[in-house]
Amino acid sequence: MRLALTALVLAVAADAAHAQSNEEKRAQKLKAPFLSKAPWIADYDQARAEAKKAGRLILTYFTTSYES
Amino acid sequence: MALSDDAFPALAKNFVLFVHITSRVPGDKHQDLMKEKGGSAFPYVAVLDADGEVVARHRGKRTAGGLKEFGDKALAFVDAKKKAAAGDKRAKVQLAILRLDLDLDKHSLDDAQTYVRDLGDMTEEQEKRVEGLLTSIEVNDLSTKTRGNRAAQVEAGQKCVDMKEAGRLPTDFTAVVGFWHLVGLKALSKRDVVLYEESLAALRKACGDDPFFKEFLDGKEKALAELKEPKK
Repeated sequence: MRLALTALVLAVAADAAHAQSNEEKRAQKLKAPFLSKAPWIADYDQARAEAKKAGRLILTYFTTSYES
Repeated sequence: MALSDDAFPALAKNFVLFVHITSRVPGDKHQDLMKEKGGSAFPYVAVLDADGEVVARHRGKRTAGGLKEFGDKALAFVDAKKKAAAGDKRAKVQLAILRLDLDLDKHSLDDAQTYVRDLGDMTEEQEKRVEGLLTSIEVNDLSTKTRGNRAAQVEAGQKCVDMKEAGRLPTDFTAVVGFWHLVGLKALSKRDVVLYEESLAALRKACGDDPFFKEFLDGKEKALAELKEPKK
C-alpha cells in the first residue's frame, strides 16, 4: 500500500514538474525577439476579433514551445 | 525565419499578425489549431480570414521576400473572390488561377489540366502563368516519384533538360528547386560541368538568400569542385 502511494505521489510530482516546465517554456517563447518587432497577437479569439474590426486577413505563424 | 527580418513589420502591415504557440500547457486553448488549419510540422505559416478559415498555406521561401509574395497572393485571392462574386468574369478566371497556385500541391497533373481547360478565355499573361503552374505540377510529380532513386532522378533530370530546351520552366518555388536539382543530377551523371554550373547558378538565384538551403547549396558547391577535378 505504502509503495503504491509513494509511486502515486512521485507520479503527481513528476507531472507537476513537467507541466511547470512547459509553462516556463511557453513564457520564454513569448519573449522571443521577433515578437517585439511587430504587433503580434498571441490569442486566437483576439486575433479574429481584431481582423473582423480592421477588415483584414490574419497572417498566422504556428510554432511550439514544448519542443526545445 | 524571416520573422526576425527588419523588413518584416512593414511587409505585414496589411495583416493582423497572430502567433499560435502549441505549448502542451494544460488549460491552454486551441492546442490542435495548427493541425486544424492544415499544418503538419513546425513552423507553419498560413493566412486565415476573420472567421478563422484558411485562405492560403505558405509553401515557398521562408525569407521576408518569400512571405511577402505569399501574403500578396493571399490578398489578391481575396480581392479576386470579391470581384468574382460581383460578376466580374475576368476576376473569376484570376480567382481560379490563384486557387490553383495556392493549392498546387493538392492537384495531380491530370486534374490541373482539366481544371484549366474549364477556365475559358484567358489573357496572354494568365496563359503564361497557368503554363508555369502546370509545368510546376509536372516537376513536383517527377521529384516525388523519383525521390531516393538516383537512376530515376537522372532520367527525370533529362526530362527537365528537355523541358528547359523547349522553354518550359516551372514557376512554383518548390518545383524550381526540384527542377534544377534534377538537372544537376543529370549533369553529374555525364560529368557536364557547364550544365552543372547552370543548375547551381539557378539554385543560388532561387534559394541562395534562404538560410534553410545553405547546407544544400554548400553540398552542391562541393560537388562542382569535385566535378572540375580531372577524372582519375
